[in-house]
Amino acid sequence: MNFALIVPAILTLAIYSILYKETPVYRFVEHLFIGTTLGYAIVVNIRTINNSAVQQIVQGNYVYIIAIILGLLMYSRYFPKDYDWLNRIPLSLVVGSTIGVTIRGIPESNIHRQLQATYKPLFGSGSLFTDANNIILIASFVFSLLYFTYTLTNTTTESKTGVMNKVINFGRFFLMVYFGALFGNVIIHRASLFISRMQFFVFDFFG
Amino acid sequence: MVPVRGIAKMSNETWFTNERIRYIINIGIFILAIIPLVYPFNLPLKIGRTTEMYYNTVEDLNPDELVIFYFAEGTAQWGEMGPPGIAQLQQLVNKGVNIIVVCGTVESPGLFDANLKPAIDWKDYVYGEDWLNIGYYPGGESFITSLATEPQSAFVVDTDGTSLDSLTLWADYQTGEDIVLIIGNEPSSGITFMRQFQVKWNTPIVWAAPSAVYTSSLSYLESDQLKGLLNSLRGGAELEKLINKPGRGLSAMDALSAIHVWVILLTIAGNIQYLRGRMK
Repeated sequence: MNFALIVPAILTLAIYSILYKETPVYRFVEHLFIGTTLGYAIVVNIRTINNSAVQQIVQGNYVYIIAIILGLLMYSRYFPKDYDWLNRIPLSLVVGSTIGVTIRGIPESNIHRQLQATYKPLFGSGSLFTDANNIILIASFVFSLLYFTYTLTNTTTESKTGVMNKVINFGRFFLMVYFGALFGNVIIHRASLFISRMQFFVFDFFG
Repeated sequence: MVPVRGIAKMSNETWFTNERIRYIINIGIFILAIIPLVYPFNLPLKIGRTTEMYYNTVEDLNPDELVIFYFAEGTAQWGEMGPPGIAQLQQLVNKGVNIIVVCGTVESPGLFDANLKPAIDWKDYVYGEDWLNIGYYPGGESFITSLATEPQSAFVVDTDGTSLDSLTLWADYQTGEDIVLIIGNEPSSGITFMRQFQVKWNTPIVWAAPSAVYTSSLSYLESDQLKGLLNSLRGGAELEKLINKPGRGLSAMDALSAIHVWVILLTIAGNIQYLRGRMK
């Protein structure tokens, strides 16, 4: 039998031993996984530094020396207290530039396009099914949004019979439908991961 | 052993403890996963609307058009997102388009080389001419911005350290405008590509998302920001069927259905017991 199959089979069984109870074998494999992942990440990151910065310098783009210095400054937090503020320079640059590149696309992709998607004809599309879909979509959008309108509070006794309360309950209903669909998909997610390990045993290990 | 609250109250039995119920659930899932893999039920698989949209969008591509295949999975997600990834890449190769592979996580270059690349029938594809892999670069959103605006100056070597200038395909990729379609496989909805590519270049995007993200990704499909969407292993199985390349996705579908039925039965049984307990 192949060594490359025996090792993952033993490790998989050791990880699934948690279903019985937490054992030293499970703990060992858990730590092994974390350690291996960390080691692998370090190697890839070193290669990435080489590919993205060192190679640029080799090709004459000396401006990347500044990038390497800024990267090294990240570790200044471990310097003596008088110098640990230096890590704020690269950190500020990373945070600032990320906000800058992200923010320009947010209004269009996260707000405008999403809003436009709710501009649907309620009637006259030619299909009863499409009309019903559009009505449900717009209703769920409006009521779900109203559910999060905290200024129109609904917790007082006087308002419990009010219109706002009913509106908010509608919003809650739509949110529950969403959570139900989400839960169903999370089941697929977990089951898929488990099935893939079983496929390994059935098709690769015993196959 | 701790008795389950509602059940113990209504039946005065202590056999149904938390531990025992957990064992029953786990053993049920284990059996229902194994049996269909050994003896497939061959249940019919209906192609979903979002998968059909995905398939048609990729099928509309012309040979030699330039696309980005963004692969950003970790080893933990491979079981779920590997089969759709293989089907996605195979469909692109079948279409004869030029592919720029981009890896989005530290683990994805290794996964791509070890698992994804060997699973593809590359036909007459030549590395550097028909496809190339620039690998993983850090920076998250800034990295995607560089891909969209200035790939030529931001990236100099591919994943193996080969100079990109020596690869003929690289010359075709001057800006994000040259990209005809973005094909993603990541535990997200592809929102970074929408912000950086779509807003600037109006690039169409198709995506494969894990099931846990699929529901929230549907809103982007509704707004036309995504042209197609694969629902993890299920979507991968549908795509395998459409491109006629049966793989791990299709073989998992019977087991997935069986486990779903088991979970539904458990949910119904649990609710009945709970209601009976409350009525008493």
